[in-house]
Amino acid sequence: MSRARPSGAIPAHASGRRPYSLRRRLMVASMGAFAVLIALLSAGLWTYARSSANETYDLLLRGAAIAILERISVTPEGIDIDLPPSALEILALDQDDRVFYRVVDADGATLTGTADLPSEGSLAKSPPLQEPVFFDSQYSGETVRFVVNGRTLLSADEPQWVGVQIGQTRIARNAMERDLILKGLVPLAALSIAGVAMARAGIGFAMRPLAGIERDIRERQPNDLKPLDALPPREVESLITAINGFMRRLDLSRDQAESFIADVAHQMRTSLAALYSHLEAAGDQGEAGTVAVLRARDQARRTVRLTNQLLSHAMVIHRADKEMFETIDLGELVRRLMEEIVRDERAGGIDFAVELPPPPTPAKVMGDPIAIREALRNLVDNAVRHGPPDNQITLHVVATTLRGRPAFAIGVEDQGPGIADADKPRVVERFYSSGPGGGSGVGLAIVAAVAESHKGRLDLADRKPSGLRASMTLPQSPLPGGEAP
Amino acid sequence: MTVRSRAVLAALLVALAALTIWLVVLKEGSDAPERTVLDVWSATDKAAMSAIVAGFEAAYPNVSVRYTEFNTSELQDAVLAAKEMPDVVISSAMDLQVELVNRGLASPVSDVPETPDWARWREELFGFTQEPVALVYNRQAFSDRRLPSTRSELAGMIRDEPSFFDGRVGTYDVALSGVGYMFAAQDAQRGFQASRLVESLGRARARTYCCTSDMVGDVATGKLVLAYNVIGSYALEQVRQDARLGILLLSDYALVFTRSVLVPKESDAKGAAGDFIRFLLSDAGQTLIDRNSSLFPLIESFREGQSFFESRFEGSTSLLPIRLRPSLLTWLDGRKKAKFLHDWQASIKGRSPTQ
Repeated sequence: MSRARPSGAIPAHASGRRPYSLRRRLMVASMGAFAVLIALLSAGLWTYARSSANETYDLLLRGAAIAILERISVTPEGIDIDLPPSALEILALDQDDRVFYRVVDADGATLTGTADLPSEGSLAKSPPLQEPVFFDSQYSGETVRFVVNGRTLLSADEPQWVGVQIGQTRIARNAMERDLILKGLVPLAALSIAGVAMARAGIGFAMRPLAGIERDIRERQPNDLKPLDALPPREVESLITAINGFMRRLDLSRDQAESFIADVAHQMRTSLAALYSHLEAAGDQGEAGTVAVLRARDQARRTVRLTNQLLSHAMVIHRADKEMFETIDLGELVRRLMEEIVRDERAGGIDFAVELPPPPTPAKVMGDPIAIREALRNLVDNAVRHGPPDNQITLHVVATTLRGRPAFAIGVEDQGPGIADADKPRVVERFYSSGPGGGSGVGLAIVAAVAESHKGRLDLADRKPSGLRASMTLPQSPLPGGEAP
Repeated sequence: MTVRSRAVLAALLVALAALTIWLVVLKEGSDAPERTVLDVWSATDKAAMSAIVAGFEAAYPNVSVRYTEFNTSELQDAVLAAKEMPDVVISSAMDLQVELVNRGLASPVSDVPETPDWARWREELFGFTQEPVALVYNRQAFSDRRLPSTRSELAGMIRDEPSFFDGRVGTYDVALSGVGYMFAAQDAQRGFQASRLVESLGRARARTYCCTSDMVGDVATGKLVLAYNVIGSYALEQVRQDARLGILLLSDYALVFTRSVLVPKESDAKGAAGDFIRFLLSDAGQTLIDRNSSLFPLIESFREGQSFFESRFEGSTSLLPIRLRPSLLTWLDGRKKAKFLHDWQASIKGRSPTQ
């Protein structure tokens, strides 16, 4: 993705960090790997070349030694050595190597040949050598490869051992060694170059589907949030899934924001228009004017309340997007809220109560304390608003399960009129209000939104003889990576 | 800091001045060249080499050649014992030359013109002639006889006509002559006919000689009817001057040897010595060998092949070059040589050498 982007696009490295190149990384890595590989193989090749050059020419040396040994015999006059021309000829087949030889007896005394060849102790062994021994030694200013081989001659009196030492300079061996190494290294080097080139081509090939996806996204209209329809290779499938999920959420939240703004605009306009008409009537003389002033005040109060609730709703939704979850002790939260309510509603004749699970069970959930508190507050407001003056309102926290996982039900019970079954699905929509109390129609919508953002549920149930039980069931912890909202 | 850099600058200037003076002196020195003396130790007749040496001195006026003549085994001993090594060693004894190189005494010479593979070794030893081993006969003695064409025929003739050949056949005394020994050894190595021939020679009470010229001389006077294994080049010179002589290459094979040259490692005039070798094998040097010496040039004779020799000798043959390789060392082995000489002498003489 290091290619230049068309003008107008935001550079990916706007943060100032240079983006790294996959191609360069891969090239460097593969070159390094090949270099190590070649080094290792070269070492192996060198060992192999040396040993096979030695083996090949050692055969010649040994052959020459055998040819000489074969022509040594015991005669009545002593040991007879008839050096065969073939022995040295074998070692001189069109080569530049110099050749040395000698024949020794069991005491190490030279019978014929060059007496001062280095034996490296191979002749001092006891029992005397029968198998050939090969070694390298410095002689006559060069490294010379020697073989020492021996044979026991049978004669009339007693067996006699004779040894042959033959040396050959290493010119032919070294040439063969170099040749083998070269012949091994050339294809190896070619292979490495091909490998690096293939790595280079491979990364381009692998990146091609990403380039297609990039082009798709770049060429879209700003409001086009349809999922990508490219069929991604397995390796980037999760990336595409994540991009598509992200776009879906973006689309959803944009839709929500649009409808919220439209609703809010409509409600505010209606409410302010009513306030305006009351204030116009307030200019009238007499009792009609006084009534209009009272109505206007009433309408202003409703507008303020509506505004507060709309802001509260917006806040809940906003917080839900951000998922500011922490561990909350629901008992603690309910107790605090109760103290606050009791302080506010001091004047009324309403009886408040709290119902908590028995002490050993800590009522703790993962959640957003401010959103939950706002939801409860709305439920209590609704209960106060719609209930009789001697209402009895109970806040409850009950351990339960949700879809097989531990959860807590938290909510409010009252002795008000309840909600007709037909209305129950609708009251959670924004700006739907039922019953004579006539609220803003936002309260239960907030509660429903909070329940939803916690992957929970809102239940509305009638009580006997009258009243409503509104209860959010919140899981102890939202499903990790749970279903999309 | 500045004092220091000034000192450095001064030192540099002094060094530069010294270098300039040195170069000027050197230039003047080369204006009046010192003559390089090239010490050539050779086991080849000075007469055969003099034209070549003169040609080399003409081509390289800065070099003067000091030519010392040896026979082959003297030369070997002299080189091995030398306190001051010669700059060039020339010998017809290929085995001894190979021995010197095998001991690591020779120094490689570069850019030597291409020659046949058998006639050079390790870029240290270079053959520069190609000379066949021949048979010289007395024309009158063979006027009403058929000439032998192979070794086996020769052996048969000697056996069948003992009265004609008795005491009238000559060959090298292998104990006295290095090249004679080499020829006999190569014969023995090449074929089973060799021992039969040597036996026939012994039965005919063959005379043995130290040198080709003596043998050819005795053939000319009629003391011998034929001489076996003579150096073709030397003999040819005498044959051309003497109508009584004929020279023949036996058709089964003709040994070919080469005179070889090397530069000792301890030579103090390696440059001039290398020039000498390159001159020997250059077109100019080879032409000199062809025209102004009794020797046969290596390169030209190699190029022309058989026809070069067939135009000079009677009979047609297959040439069998003796290779400049360590296999020659086999015959220098003390025991091998002693055994060979013993057997040879037992076959050919059974008596004290005659001449």
